[in-house]
Amino acid sequence: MKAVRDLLQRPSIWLRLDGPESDVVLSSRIRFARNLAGRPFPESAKPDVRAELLREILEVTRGVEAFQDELRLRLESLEPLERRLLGERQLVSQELVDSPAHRGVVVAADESVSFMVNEEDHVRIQSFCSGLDLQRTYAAGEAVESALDKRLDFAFSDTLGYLTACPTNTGTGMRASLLLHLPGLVLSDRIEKQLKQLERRTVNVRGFHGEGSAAMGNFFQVSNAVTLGPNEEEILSQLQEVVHDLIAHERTTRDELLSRARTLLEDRIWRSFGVLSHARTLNAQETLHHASVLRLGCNLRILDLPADLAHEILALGQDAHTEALADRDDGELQRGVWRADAIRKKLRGSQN
Amino acid sequence: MSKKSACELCHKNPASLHFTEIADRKVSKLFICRQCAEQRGLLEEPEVEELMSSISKQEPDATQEERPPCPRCGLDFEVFRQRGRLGCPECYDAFGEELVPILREIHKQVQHTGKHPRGGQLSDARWQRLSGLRQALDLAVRTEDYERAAKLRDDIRQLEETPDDETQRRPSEDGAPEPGEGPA
Ligand SMILES: [Zn+2]
Ligand SMILES: [Zn+2]
Repeated sequence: MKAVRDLLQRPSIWLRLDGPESDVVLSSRIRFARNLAGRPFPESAKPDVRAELLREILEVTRGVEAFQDELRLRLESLEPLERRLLGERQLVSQELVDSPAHRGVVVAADESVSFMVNEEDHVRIQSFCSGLDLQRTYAAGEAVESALDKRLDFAFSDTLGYLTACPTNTGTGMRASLLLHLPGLVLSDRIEKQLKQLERRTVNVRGFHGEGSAAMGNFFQVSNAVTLGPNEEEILSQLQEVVHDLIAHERTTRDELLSRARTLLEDRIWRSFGVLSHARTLNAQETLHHASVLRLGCNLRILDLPADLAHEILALGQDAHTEALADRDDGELQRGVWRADAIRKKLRGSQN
Repeated sequence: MSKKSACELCHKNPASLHFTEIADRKVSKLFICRQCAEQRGLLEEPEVEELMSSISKQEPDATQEERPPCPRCGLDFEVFRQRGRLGCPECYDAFGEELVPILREIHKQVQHTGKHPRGGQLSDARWQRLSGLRQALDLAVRTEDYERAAKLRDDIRQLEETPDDETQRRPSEDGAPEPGEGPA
């Protein structure tokens, strides 16, 4: 049986850097919300009913092909650190990290597909790819959805589609979200305007950590706003269109910064490099911030570093990952010291 | 709650959003303004934000008669308005009249055109056989009997792919009284 910590041997999907358009898009993620007909939604179900739903769904979904060599977990039997690791890898929601009772998750060994049990809906299927690849992501998620559809009786109405606990998910139950790195738009102060324009285009945007222009590490999540009306393909192509525009803007802005503000840009990047390679203690937030700038420096070839190095440092901008990798829990300050040490070693090793 | 009530946090701006906050297992209801919601990070989930604003636009009407609760799960519509979550799939039937305008506000359209379930409920006999095969597969994998596991996997796939007599679902009686496109 695999354990949660085994996942640490590979980077999270959003940090893998091997997908299309990875200079701007870190990952594509699609989730389907599904519920069992005739059963109360998890939030309304009494504890014994929730327990029964969890047992039943975990039992019935054994042996789905995409999930060979899987993790099949009851959240309450995990340590808090393991739950936080799953959260940082975007395999479970914060809700499941915080309130594990009667909740479960099944994760394929490569993390490309997974499903949560008893989140807001009975089943939340997720597929996850590196870079911008909505077609492949959809195909993988849809395959799992179809496999589960053969084993579970999903609540469905011909007019309203899949019936979900929250009316914002009714219909396709599908939410596709792309994780974007937009440091160019943030540095050039164009991000607010870009985000405002998006409000009119049936997408939602939010910071990956933090909100609006203060989004930590310049990471933004863009997802479809509407789930009822257009079909899955239409929803995805609308989202794809919006994101192509954003990618184009981000790239143009990076070029402009290079040609019109090169020194300032280089200064930013080398300062972040300086902090990461000399600091004696680093917290998660500043690590995320500087690693984000480092990532931009690598993309623009201002820094001559191995491409995945910035991502290894980004991974350390997460507290549970740092705690697990340090293999000890000795408080914020000591964790900061361990983290700074680990990052310094990485950067020194990469220098000639 | 009256339409013009002030935000419960800043007591200045008119309140426009309902929130249910659950902290330390205590549920408290908040009726607050957008700025305060933003400051407290309550708008982190845009879907919730949208839902909340669209629900609070549907101001309660004093003259309106009481809605009966959902006959299946017992949820009151008023409770839904406050927490933004339905109780069970049948709530969609029970509250159809009130829900459709909310769905239209969120999605602009109220006719699903996407994917349909294919398999759905299997007949009992097939169900029993499949679940027996899956248990056997589980055992085979655990005892590392891979030859047997491979055969069982084939059997399961075959059984899954045989069409059931009942793959066609009867038309739903779900209550969206105004199907079709949303307002132009
Ligand atoms: Zn206020
Ligand atoms: Zn109900």
